[in-house]
Amino acid sequence: MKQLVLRGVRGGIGATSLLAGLGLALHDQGERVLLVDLSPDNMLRLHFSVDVAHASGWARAQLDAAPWHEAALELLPGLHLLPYGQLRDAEVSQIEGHLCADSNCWAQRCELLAHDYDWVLFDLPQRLPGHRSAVSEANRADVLIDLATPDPGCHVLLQQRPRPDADLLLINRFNPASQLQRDLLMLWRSQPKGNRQPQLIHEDEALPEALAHKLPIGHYAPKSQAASDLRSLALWCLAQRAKC
Amino acid sequence: MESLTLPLQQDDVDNLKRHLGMPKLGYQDISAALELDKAVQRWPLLSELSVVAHLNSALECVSHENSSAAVASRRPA
Repeated sequence: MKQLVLRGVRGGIGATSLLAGLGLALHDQGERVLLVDLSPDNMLRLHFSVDVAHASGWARAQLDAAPWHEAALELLPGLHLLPYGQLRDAEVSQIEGHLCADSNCWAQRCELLAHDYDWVLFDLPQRLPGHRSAVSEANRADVLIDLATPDPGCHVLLQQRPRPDADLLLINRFNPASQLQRDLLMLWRSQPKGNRQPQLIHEDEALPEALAHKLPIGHYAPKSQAASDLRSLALWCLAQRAKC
Repeated sequence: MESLTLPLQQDDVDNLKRHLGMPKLGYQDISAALELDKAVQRWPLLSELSVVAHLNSALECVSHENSSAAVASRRPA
């Protein structure tokens, strides 16, 4: 079983939607996939037709002293989702306190799941270091992908070299008609980490439309450019598994 | 995704290196370097950041050389 994280260099660049799409693309390749929402925004479930009012999740269960894994939902055979749950701000701080005190918490939970899944995909919040232990040096996920959009804000943040180093730079919402985006892409391609070229997800209106339909892109618009890009990313992940 | 295939030009250079039996042959794509320079110069923020990045990498090189020099000087003669 491999753990995978999409680390957005900043918020609002589509990490949750892409993670939902990648989970489905891996499942389409015959992999057993668990999607875990570690973000208090609790948005991942909305890509899989879960009711907005659905309040349960692992963090809710943890606060109520219930088994965390019972909050998991079966989306398809071999494709499961563990929502975060609806929490008030003070309760999120309480969970953050637990996770900071026990930074191996999710690593241990993953060990329990090792035989049930081929992949566990984590959706992380932008801050909250306790919730982000999968991108710490000590508990780094097996496959760590940096996500950026081709804009100057992401360029500034990438120059600060997020640690630990990622296995891949994934670029979302690429629009080849934009001079600035072409220039940034050329610049990012000229500084590949470990000779690995960035990979692209093209700008595609089908992505926000998919969320508006409460579906992952692979189900909403399987023939779209973004869905095709995500299928290529899933194949890269399968190839990467052989290396880690 | 475009990057799954090697850029054609890079492939040509690799073929040439193999053909000549000179795998370590140095190759600099000057037109690509000029294009990159133009791209950076077009945007003031990008040029400022590229200056900062060059300074930082130069500083890293110097501190790396200093630390390896210190290690060498500690070695018994």
